[in-house]
Amino acid sequence: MPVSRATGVAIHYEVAGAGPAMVVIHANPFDHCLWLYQIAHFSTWFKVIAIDIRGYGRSDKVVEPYTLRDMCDDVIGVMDQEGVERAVLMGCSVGSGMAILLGLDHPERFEGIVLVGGNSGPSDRYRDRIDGYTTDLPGYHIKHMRQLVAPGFADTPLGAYLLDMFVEREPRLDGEAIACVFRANNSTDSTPRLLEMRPPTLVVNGEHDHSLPAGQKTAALIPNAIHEVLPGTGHACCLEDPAGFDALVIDFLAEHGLMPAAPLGV
Amino acid sequence: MPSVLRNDIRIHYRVAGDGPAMVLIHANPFDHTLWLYQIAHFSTWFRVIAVDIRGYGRTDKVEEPYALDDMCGDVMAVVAEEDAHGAVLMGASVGSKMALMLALDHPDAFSAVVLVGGSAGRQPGHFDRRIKGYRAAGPKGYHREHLESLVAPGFPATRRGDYLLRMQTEKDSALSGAAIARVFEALADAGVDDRLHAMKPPVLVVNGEHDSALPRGTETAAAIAGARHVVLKGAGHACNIEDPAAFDAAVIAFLSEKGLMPGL
Repeated sequence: MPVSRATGVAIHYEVAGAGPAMVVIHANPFDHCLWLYQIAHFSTWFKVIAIDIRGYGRSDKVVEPYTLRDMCDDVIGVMDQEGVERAVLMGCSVGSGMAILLGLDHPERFEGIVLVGGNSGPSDRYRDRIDGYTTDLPGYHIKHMRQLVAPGFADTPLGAYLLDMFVEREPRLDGEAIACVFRANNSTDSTPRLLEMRPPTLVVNGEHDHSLPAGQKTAALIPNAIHEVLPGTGHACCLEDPAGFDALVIDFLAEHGLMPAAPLGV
Repeated sequence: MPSVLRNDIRIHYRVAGDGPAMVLIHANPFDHTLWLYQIAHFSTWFRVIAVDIRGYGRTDKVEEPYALDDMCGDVMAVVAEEDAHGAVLMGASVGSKMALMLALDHPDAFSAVVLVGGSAGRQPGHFDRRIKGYRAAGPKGYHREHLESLVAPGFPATRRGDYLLRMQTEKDSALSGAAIARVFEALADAGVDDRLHAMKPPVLVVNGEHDSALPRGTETAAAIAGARHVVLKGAGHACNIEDPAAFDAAVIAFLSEKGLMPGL
């Protein structure tokens, strides 16, 4: 896996496909494989760059305090290393908070933004999350993931397989490093700036997504943003219903002239 | 995506994860995204290298005749470029015959072999319907029909099944029926069944219950000393994308038994 150290933090990422760039930023408590379907599917048209944010995957487990903007700088560092001037940006949960901040701070670098979740400010759940990860990482990790998907999904064979993929990687995780991600996310409120957002924005929430009200609020505050709800899914809707999710993204990108005309660059 | 140029043919491949190497060779008429689950899952422990074979994905669409041995040479060029000597090798369908040929010709290059399908012998005439379909109707006219025949009944009508098959047919305008036909001609002409007794790396053969290659996979597993054979209930030829949970579990059990599953 390639690695960027632009901010002094080792950020690992994967690249699939070729063409215009699409950068994807995952949610707590997953890693870039949250996007396993989208990496495969959108690599038909795009150079997909899937980042392991600090605290996850093979990226550094930083346990000193930092800000959400520091995490955004990690993303800019990856884009610079890959020679990517402009990209479509997709972020889920904390990744959507980062995508909001990136779109506001670097509007010239993002042609379109897809927010899964789309919370722009602090959350009332973060204390429980920090307590859970700092006291019992293995017990809390699967409990947390089960809360992020629609009822029943985690008990299907495919749902169990997909969530277990992240459980198997627990030896690489660190509870305090995850707590740092939650603290960074929770100490940033981009809400007052949403009306300044320039790139076209799509907000997607699952029907059972606890961020649905926050996503609706974000979509209402961003000029011309589109809001879509995916039936039968939770917060991790891109993993739960890739067919429904990808169709929404493709429609949105096509509407803004951002879907390449031909597959595989031909 | 990285690529390597060999004999004027550009071979593209995707790399994921870090660790010991695992090389994946997909089936007709998919590309490396046939392995989307395995790329994600096995990248936990391995550096997964998923090749687009000639005729598919971003790899060149070769319309002149060639042999399966040439396609194996493409894979060895990727193995050399990525310094992947000692890799676990997994191949599906045409990729499984290539995997057999590669492991027989380069016994020290691969630590273990997983075959999905696993036909080993020459298959003259066997693919004439496919060849005619791709040459006459082209990818747009024949691709979906072919894909549907490779999975269990009912799978294409599921939301996930339709999504996964459409991920392949969305690329039809970039594919060449003549190039796909050449892959089948090379596949039909190649046979390694008389050499299976000489196989050195440990081998796992996986077939779906509804897999038309099940009888030939059974024969292959029987002809290789110590080979394991697993049949996945409810799945077809493309069992690794239909039931990734069961497929990956079979592979992990096999690799663990051979001492080839890395720790974290």
